[in-house]
Amino acid sequence: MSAIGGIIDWSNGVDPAALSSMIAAAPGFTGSNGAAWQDGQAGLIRVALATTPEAVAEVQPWRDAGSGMVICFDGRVDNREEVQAWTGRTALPVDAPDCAIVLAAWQRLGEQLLDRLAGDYAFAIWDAAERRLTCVRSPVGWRPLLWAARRDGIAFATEPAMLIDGAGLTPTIDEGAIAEYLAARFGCATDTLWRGIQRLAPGHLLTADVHGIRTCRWLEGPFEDWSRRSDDDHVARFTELFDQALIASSRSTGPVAAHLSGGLDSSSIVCRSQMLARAGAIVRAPISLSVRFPGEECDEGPWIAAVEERCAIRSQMITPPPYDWAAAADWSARTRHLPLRPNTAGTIMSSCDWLQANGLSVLLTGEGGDDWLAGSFAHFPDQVRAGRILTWLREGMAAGSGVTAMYRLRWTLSSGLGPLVSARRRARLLQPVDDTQGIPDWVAPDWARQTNLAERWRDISPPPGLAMLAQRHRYGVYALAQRHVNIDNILSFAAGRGVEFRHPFHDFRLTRFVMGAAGGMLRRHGTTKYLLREAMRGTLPEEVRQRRDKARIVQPIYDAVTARLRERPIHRLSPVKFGWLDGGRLVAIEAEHAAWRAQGAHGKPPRSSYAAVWNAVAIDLWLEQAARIS
Amino acid sequence: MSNPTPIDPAAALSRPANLAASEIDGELVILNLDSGHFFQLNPVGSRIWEALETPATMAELCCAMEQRFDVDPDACRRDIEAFIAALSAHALVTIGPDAG
Repeated sequence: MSAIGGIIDWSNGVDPAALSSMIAAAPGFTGSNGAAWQDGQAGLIRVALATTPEAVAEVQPWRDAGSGMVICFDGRVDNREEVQAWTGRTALPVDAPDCAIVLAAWQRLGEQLLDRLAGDYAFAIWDAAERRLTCVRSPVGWRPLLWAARRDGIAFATEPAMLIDGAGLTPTIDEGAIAEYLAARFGCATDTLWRGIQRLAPGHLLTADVHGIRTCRWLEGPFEDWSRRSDDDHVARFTELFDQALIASSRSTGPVAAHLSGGLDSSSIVCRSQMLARAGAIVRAPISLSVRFPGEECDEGPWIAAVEERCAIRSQMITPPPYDWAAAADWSARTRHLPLRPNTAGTIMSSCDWLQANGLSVLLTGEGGDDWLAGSFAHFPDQVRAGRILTWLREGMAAGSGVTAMYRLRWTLSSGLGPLVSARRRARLLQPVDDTQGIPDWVAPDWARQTNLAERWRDISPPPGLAMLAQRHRYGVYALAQRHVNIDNILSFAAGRGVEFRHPFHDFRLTRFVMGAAGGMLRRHGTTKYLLREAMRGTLPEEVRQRRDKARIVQPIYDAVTARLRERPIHRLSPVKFGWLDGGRLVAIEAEHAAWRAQGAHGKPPRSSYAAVWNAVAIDLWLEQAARIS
Repeated sequence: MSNPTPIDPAAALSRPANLAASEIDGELVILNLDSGHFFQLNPVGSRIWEALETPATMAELCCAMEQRFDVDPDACRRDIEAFIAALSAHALVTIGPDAG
């Protein structure tokens, strides 16, 4: 991930020193990889992390001499040849950088480009002739873009620190957004933990001109309906698009690494990439990296070994370091981010260290497999509406096991008819956050009222008005706000180490297809990821392809939180001291989980949400270090 | 509800076998498995339909509902007759010959 940013000031023009400060505050700034462009009212910056061959020699911000438009672009375009063809211009060489291709296409197509642009990106274009700034985020949003209205303009950036320590914003904390996070139901796609700093939601664009700032959703569908297509058609199309996603995400300045956990998703990426490399479809197979947790319930050694044997490879074993709270505090203070979650931090840190030490900059992950492919039963009402009663009943009756036929029938009816006859059930299916659960018992009721927590959840924008309920339900993956608070800090950390994560399962062309796939192809007979499992026949080792369980990596987060609470007990955490959270309830939750951990973390975890404890600890550190409140 | 067609108190009422029902937010939704049509009953209608889990005569059904809802017997009978007639028109209940 490169860092991009900019300032528009309609009255006073842009201070060059502010642009320099934004560059200096960007993760991964080495002293020589940042550049600014400025012309009176507008200034744009970019701090480069070149991860594609075409990006190595590119100049950004990039200005088109003919039109005077300027772009700063973070990301990768996966359909370069198509986009170049649409521009109708021959002036761009075949190895033109992605930023130049996008700017040329934007001049030709404007917003119509976005539905046709495949890739992973965030960009901003300054149109000097129109005195207008346009900022765009790709559908799934793996390239953050934050913005803040200023007295006479706007500032935007990839990172909060670029706005606060760079552009000189002095935001206060946003207790409403913090309340969502502490309640472990972060649903607002646009709010950040900082009041006044907004997030441009995935699949949205922002326009700023002298008339003001406006945002709108550009990703509205429609998505092709595959619900009447055959199993074979689905498998063939999925395989074609998955291969395309792997090829696209392998475009890099050098060898690419891939995380191999032993789970279905990451194993699919590693095994399929190996096949594509042998077939010459990608230059070289990714180097696989694995983390082991010997002796722990979550260790996936046998699954990793099965993939190694199948592909005749040896996965590079990396050892996650113990969670370092002093380093986390220092990093949070510098970046203004929440600390990394301990259950992923070790893997992230050790992977980045290994890539950096070996001169690699791209890591493929299996992220997105759960989101897109696990499936649900949200398509049952669509089947009822379409009169496909037998298909619906057959799928419903086959979905459960270990229950009576009468129970299954009632459940099938409830799942298929409930969202059609009950507004409450329809809302529960479509709303990103289920507000019918009420306020969690660890959140202080008074503070929940003060922050309008229930209203915040109720007011979350629904998905666009797509014709099928299943598609509206799946659209939630594009708009998953929880992803921002869990992932933005990871992306920032990786960028600071010169590493970019890529997620083939979030490929736009692949996800467009999945949006319209038959529900019964995603989940069938109670089996999640049915389509992926079918597509991976002959690719994955059978024991991995058929595995139904999934490692729950809990040991690192328990151990890290326990260590932190020894130094700073729950009653001393700021969210408890401020009266935001019920300290007694947090102590009880923590004790339940500590007891489970002490017994080896076998079997089912306690029913209470451990996120309550981690989120309280994380916000405590963030308030102290990033917001400098304690 | 009004009831233009009285039902014999001894008539046997039963649910057809091709129906399935599920309660959704306190109201029953009944699916006709043959036609794919589904019907939503209000809470009172849901209780009447539930009372027919085992076949009963019209008189037995009225008696059960009178006890449950504490209503005037004549009004109760009229309303239930109208409701049963509506159910019958949509093939959601079978009105058989006299049980006796």
